[in-house]
Amino acid sequence: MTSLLQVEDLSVAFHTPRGLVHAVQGVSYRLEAGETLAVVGESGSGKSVHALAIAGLLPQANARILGGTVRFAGQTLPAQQSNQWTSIRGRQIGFVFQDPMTALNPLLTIGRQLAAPLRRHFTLDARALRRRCIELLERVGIAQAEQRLKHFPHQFSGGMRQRVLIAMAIAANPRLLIADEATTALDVTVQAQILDLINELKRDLDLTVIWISHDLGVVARLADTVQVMYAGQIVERGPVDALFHDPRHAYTLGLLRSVPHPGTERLRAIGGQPPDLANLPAGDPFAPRNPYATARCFQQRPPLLPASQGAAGHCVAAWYDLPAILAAEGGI
Amino acid sequence: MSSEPLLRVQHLNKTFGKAGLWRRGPVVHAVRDLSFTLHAGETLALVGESGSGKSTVGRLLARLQDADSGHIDFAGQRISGFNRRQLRPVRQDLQIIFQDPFSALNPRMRVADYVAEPFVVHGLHPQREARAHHTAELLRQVGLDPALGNRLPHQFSGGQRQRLCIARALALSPRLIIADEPITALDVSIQAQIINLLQDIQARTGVALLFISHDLSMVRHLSQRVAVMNAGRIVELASTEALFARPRHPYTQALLSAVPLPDPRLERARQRLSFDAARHPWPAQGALCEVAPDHFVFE
Repeated sequence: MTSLLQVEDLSVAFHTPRGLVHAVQGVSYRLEAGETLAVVGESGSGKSVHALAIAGLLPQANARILGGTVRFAGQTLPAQQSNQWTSIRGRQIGFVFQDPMTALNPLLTIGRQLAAPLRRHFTLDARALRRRCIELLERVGIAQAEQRLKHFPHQFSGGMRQRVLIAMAIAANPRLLIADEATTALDVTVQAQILDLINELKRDLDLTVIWISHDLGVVARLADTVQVMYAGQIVERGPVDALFHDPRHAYTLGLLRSVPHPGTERLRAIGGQPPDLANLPAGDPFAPRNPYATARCFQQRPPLLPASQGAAGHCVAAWYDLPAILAAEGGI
Repeated sequence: MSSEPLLRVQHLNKTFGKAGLWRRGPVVHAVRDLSFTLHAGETLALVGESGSGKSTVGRLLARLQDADSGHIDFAGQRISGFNRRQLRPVRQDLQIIFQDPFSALNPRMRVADYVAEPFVVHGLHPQREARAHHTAELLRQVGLDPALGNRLPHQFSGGQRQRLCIARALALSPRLIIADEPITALDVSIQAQIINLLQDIQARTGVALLFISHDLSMVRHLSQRVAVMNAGRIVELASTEALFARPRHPYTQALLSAVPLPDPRLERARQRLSFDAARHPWPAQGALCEVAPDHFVFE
């Protein structure tokens, strides 16, 4: 059985004045058709960069894929920009960005912008094109779609614009939708509506989704599988219930403890600062911030291995046994 | 609470975009007939979505903008009518922290000078040594090594910069800090550090906090009372416990149900409520009514 997406040992670096910054280091995973994967991490964790690499959207000027392969639907994706991408990106992989305010061209009507991906991937006459655009806007829950096609981005609210961007991303019926912090810039009530829309689209269009977010609440709502990234590496990955209720990596635990739950007197913040990617220490990159770090954590980088007595598919990169430590402490 | 409040706001109004000789734009009523009190040492949260007017309230209270009408009484003085000179001593007691620690700092100023600037402005610590000593103390209070004082802002991360802004706000030992979305721009693990720092400072100094935020779970964690704003009005004002347990206004109910919870089992089981502004027109003669002791709802 082949997975829809297979990422193998992917490494990405950026050339900067301070030297080579290793944004993604040896990331490997599989994504099955119909699955929703949430990628969680802080700024600099590599969660966005790895998604840009999958979609062939890395900035060409200073980004380099140092190694690894990405296989999508049985086909190896090209590492560099090439004509091959036009039949994949937009057509088979849709991408939604964080900021709905800047992702649309303010000078073109919504109809023109929505038609662009359709023109690119299909040959449709003007009437069919228009019909499809209206259908797409209705699909993402925009009322009076026909009139709305003539409007410009500034006539739409933030939530409406994000709906338009989602419509553009699904225009060519892609199999995979990648959303990078797609609701971060939105108000919570609007965010709730967009999350409902994504769940609906998943069901109706049989979409596979990679949802990149730092918001654990959003992740809890959408994901089947969660992948936690830190300093360019996957530190933990597993089914959503296992991640939230049986975390195995101290960083995952730290994230869960950083958000308030009713009744917590004091937040248990993760100490210290995120690591400098141009100057990573040896060993586990989280070790300097980890109160449970062992001597080995500072010397040797732990591999991502199945968690002992964990749920199916639950993997962790840690030298310590977190459940044992927590049991000794008296629970999460 | 029977004692005189530290801050009393009465019938505050603010509009933007007045039609004038050259402009005929729509008038935005950012703050409408807003009244509330804040007691010494208390944390009151002002929550709402973008455009609700919550940040405008913070700016009006700090007198960075002038209200169209209404009164602001702070520490027994009616500061809403004060001019710049009269405001100067008030500003020692009332400080504000902003959302974006990247643009709040002067990129060319050593951070120790930035933190010590209020001393210079207010003519405190004329001797350099006393000033340096107090500055080092402030940096320690916010968890930064005083030895870093010679560095420039770009050498600090977002969380460290917010600590610098807090150190500066603390310099004059204020009685009230207005914190306008102080953690929004920070990573999750760093947000918790800053919230803990604010709690520690409050426990030590007894400073009152007006916490302006859209993050309802942090609001629940940090504050004693919550005011929910929508379209420039306070629609509900209650103790944190009562507001989260028994929200009365349909907007508050919708807002609380929209917040995603970091627990997949709870999330899958949740029902969401929606608030349709068109179906809930504002009552023309509406006002905050006390529906239960210290629980006010706009009706």
